[in-house]
This record gives sequence, structure tokens and C-alpha cells, in this order.
Amino acid sequence: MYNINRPISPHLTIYNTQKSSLFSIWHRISGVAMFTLIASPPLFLKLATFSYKSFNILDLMLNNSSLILPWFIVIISVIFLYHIINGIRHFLWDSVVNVNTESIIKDSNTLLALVFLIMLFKFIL
Amino acid sequence: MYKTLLAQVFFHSIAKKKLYFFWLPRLFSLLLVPGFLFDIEILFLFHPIILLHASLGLSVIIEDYIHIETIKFQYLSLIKLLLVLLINLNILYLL
Repeated sequence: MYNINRPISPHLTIYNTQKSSLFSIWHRISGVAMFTLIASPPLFLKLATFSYKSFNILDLMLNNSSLILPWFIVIISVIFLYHIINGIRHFLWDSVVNVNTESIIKDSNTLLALVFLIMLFKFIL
Repeated sequence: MYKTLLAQVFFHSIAKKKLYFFWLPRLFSLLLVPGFLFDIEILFLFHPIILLHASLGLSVIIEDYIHIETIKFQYLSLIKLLLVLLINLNILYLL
């Protein structure tokens, strides 16, 4: 078929979940989700201005607020906060700080606690 | 000691001129954090910085998961085209 010259690993479900791999995978997934969220508003604006019909998707979204999920902002900001704090961890790893297994596990626990606390103070309290 | 090491790495990378494209978008992304925490509408002003950061991340993801070389380069060039389009749209709507 294709000329791939590398050994094929077994499927992902075989492995035990480790904290380091899980957090990096969710970093990537949250990054792609944030890219779609950030790249879509200018495209919607372009659709609203440069079209022959009077088709206004922003007006439709703002007037019918039941189309948008309730607690949508909370979910988005959880994704953003996770990406920001994990990005700070990546900074630390690039400038060789905290590159042990113990400190990685400790840092991931503090990451989840920080996200939970910031969301608690911002939205619920 | 760590601070001096970070500073050494940073200034060495800038002086070498090849690695500033690795470090500077990551350091610019730190500027977006207070914008997210206090006023989320200001992120539209910093849209090109976000898109530069996103292009690096998406190109890394594509290089990791797509192993056929021609398709990989096609996707990388298409991502760069999409980001140029989005930055132009952002400039148009900011004017």
C-alpha cells in the first residue's frame, strides 16, 4: 500500500492510561476545539456581509438563545483555562524545570484543582 | 539558578536567529492570558497572535499523525493559506 517504513503499534486501548500522555492528548484536543471556536466568528461575519441574501447568522444566534447550549460559556472557559495552565507547564518543561515523574503527577493534580477553583470563583460564587 | 537558565536559553535562541520562531509565539501567547481572564472581547484585537500560535500547534499535530508525505505537505500549505485568509478578514473587520 503506502510506503511507510515504521513498526505498527497495537491499538491505544491496550495501554494503561498515564497522566503525562492523557494530559498532552487533551492539550491537543482542546487546542483544536479552541481553533474552531476562534476561527469561526470572522467566517460568520464574512458570511453575513458578503452574501447576496440578507442572511444574518449572528442575529439568528443572538435572538434565539435556546439554540446555544446553556452553560456554553462555562464549558468553553474550562477548555481555555485547561489549555492555558497546561501551556505554562509546557513552558516550564521547555526550560528544563520539573521534568520528573513525581513532579509531573503533582503538577497535573494542581492543574485540575486550579481549573476547578477558578471556575468556582468566576461563575458560581 | 533556573531563572538564569531560562534567560540563557531565551537569549541564546534569539541570538541564533533560527529558534526565535519557536520561542516568540509561545511567549506572545502568555500575553493572551490576562485578556482571557478579564476581558474576552479584547482577544479579537490579538487575533493574529492567536492564529500564529494555532498554526504552530496544528502543523505539529499534522506532522505527528499523517505519515504520507505528499498529503502532509498539502495539508501544511492549506493551513498556512487558511491562516492568511483569517488574518486578512480580521484586519478587514478591525478597520
